[in-house]
Amino acid sequence: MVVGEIVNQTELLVIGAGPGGYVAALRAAQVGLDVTLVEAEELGGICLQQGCIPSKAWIAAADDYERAKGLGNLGLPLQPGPVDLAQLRAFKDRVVSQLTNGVAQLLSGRDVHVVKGRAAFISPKVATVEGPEGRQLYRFGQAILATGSHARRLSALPADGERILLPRHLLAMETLPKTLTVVGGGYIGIELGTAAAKLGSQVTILEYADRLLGQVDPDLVRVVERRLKELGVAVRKGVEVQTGEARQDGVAIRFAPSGGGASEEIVSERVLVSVGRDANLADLGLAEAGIPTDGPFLHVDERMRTNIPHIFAVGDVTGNPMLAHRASHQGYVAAEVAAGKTAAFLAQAIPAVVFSDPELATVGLSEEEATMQGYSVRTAQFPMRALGRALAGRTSQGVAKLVAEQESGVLLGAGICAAHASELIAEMTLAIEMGATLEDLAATIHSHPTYAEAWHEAALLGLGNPLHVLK
Amino acid sequence: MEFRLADIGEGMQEAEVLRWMVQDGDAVQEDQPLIEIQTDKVTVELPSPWRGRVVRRFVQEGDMVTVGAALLEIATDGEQEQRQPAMSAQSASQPADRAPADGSTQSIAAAAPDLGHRVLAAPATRKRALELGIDLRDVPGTGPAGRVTPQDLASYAAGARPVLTPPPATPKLHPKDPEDERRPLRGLRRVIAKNMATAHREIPQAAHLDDCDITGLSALRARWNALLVQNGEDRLTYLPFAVKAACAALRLHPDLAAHFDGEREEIVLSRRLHIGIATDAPDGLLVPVVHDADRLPLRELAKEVRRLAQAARDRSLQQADTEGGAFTITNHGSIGGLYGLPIIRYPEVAILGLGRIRDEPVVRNGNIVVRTILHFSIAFDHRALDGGEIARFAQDFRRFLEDPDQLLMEMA
Repeated sequence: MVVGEIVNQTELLVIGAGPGGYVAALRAAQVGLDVTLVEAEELGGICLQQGCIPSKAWIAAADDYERAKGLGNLGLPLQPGPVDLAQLRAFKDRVVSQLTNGVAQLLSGRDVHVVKGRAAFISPKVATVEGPEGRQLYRFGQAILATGSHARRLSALPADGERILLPRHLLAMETLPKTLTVVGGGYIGIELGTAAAKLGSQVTILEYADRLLGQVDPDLVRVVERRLKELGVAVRKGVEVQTGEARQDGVAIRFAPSGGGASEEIVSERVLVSVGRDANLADLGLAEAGIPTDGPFLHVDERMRTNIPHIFAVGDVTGNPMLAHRASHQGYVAAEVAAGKTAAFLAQAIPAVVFSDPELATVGLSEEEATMQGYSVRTAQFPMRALGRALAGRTSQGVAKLVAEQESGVLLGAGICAAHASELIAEMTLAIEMGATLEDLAATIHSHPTYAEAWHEAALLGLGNPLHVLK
Repeated sequence: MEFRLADIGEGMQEAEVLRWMVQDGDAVQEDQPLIEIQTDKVTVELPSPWRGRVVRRFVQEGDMVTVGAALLEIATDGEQEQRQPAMSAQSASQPADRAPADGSTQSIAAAAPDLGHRVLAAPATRKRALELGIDLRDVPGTGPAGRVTPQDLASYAAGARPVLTPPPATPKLHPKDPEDERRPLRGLRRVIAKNMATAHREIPQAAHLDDCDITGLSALRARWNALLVQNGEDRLTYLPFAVKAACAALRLHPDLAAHFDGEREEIVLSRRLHIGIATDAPDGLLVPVVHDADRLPLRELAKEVRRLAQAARDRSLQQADTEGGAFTITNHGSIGGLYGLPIIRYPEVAILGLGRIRDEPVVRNGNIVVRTILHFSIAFDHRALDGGEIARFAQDFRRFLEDPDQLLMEMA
């Protein structure tokens, strides 16, 4: 500290205004703390500015477009014209801006002091903020670290934002590439690759592992792969990118089987790199605060405290799964603990959604995980094509799967790859939190005709007496 | 992997968590001590069966935990790699830029419902339990599949803390002084408190006080000690002689070496004479056991008593050192007190208290002479024994100490 510097005081300093940080700030202010929220970029974080929300604008539009093409077969012909990506981008920007303003209003309505700048600890009690108004010091009672994560880069394919893109670059494009190679078959690659294909790109996905979507149940992933094929997306699994080269005609990628073998080349107009995310831990002054920086993430206890009891960490900086709703829940808990309330991260299950086609969502344990953890499990899979609503709605692909403990029938996990899976998973999340059994699900009336009947039927199947499939 | 509390001694049901030796997130090696626990008998450090990293600890220092309860979760090295969460985009990464595959396990309760330590209860019920400081695993669930309902929690909370019934009108012992020290009942003190309260509550206890003339024994001991000192060995105290005399008397009165099993309405007579020796250790009373005290030569017995006393003092008693007692001797007289009225070591049925040894004027053949007198007391469980048998035991115990020749014959 320099003599003469003005030191601002705050009870709670929240660093990062993504879904973890801004929720923490709102809750802390609601329970009476004086809160300062520091954000280097825009409110809402990656989720709102570059990730969940903008990609959904793209994905939803691409899906409508794709479905509209099929209306001709029903006697409702439409004549699709050329895609104008600039308009789609403008729409996306409007949605983002509307939500960003909403967050700003909520924060100001709760008297959260929002500061633009980059924060770093200089001691366990003081942080600097470098912003447009220069350097400011904040002495805080407690702090919550919620600085999120950034897209991992590939040295073979350095993103230039022009031809080699990170997800945010793709979403900002004004023209659609004729050919697009997606490096990384995780959820981001699958989501954006699918949307680009629906809008008219010729898409190839390269994945290092021999399966897409990591550890997701193969029974569910199979449905996505089948659909990718229908959409004309080429999927190459078990391949490793060796070199990338930007040329006149596009980007040439040389890749070879991960286990070794002859290499191949693919040339595409653009390349999307989506190979995972890393926690933002650099330049935060963690060492000055006394927080160890030896790992890729910060360790927290179930009250979200780091090793320094008055400094909390929430969201992607605390590791996987890097999901906005996990960050928000953690932020809420951290704020309550900071305010002296009794709170802890007690959730049994964190749902995860992939906006693939069809959507894929899971919660709790997969069959593989449950077996690995030593459970004796029973599973039940119900095909969506046996549901009237799914057939009538032209979305009959997919399957709903339940994983229950053999003896008690207690629900351990659920997964679904089907239209509206992102919404349908909520029921199973609640069921797991409430400790529901297959019998509970079977005894719950599900409205007809809906997609949610899949859970009811799967539960009946798990109990050995399905009604709408023959066992 | 979850590390659970195993039964480390016969019939152990629960233990107290004394001290964590690892923190959340710590890397642990195989056999590295994780936690120090206290059973009703011993204090032990439990080593890690695996190499890995501590994901989280389920219990806190001071908690009582039952056998089978999960103490902590360790992500073993193999597990840490497999546990890449289902939908992280990381799975799609290329190896060149892959982040170091280190402790990416979550340090929070994440997506894994686990019936092992998971209690079936709605989120609001879990939150309420957290606020009440109640471990839901302790609450009997009446719902489907053993689910703990809000009512279950409420009635447990009401039972555990009778807030609704007015507290009994106990007079305040003294005005509350802010300078007073409040010391939590922990560790051995808590065990002693529990055991003593049980014994006091369960046992209708009566006592028998007597003394005996050990002038002869005193002379014998002096002669033997002179020899031992010459040989460079440790001197004998009176305690091993008293143990021997008690064993000899117990062989004549086996009903005193027994356990009272109230539940089955049985008295279990001990075949072997394992004698507990109450020992004044720094943390509190411990009762190590001399196994087959009747069969050990006197010098071996003395050596064993010394070893156990030392182990009790430096907290190195093993589980086996504290098990199997049939009868207990407490030698409070070595510190002071003419007589003591010891509390029986539940579920044993009798305890012998050795009081002060001192020279006293006594009447022998019409003359007042000075003799060396040992004062002793026997407390007994009146459910299992009556005063007549105790008086007869006392007579024999006394006889063996007053006439060492008789004791030596019994020891053969």
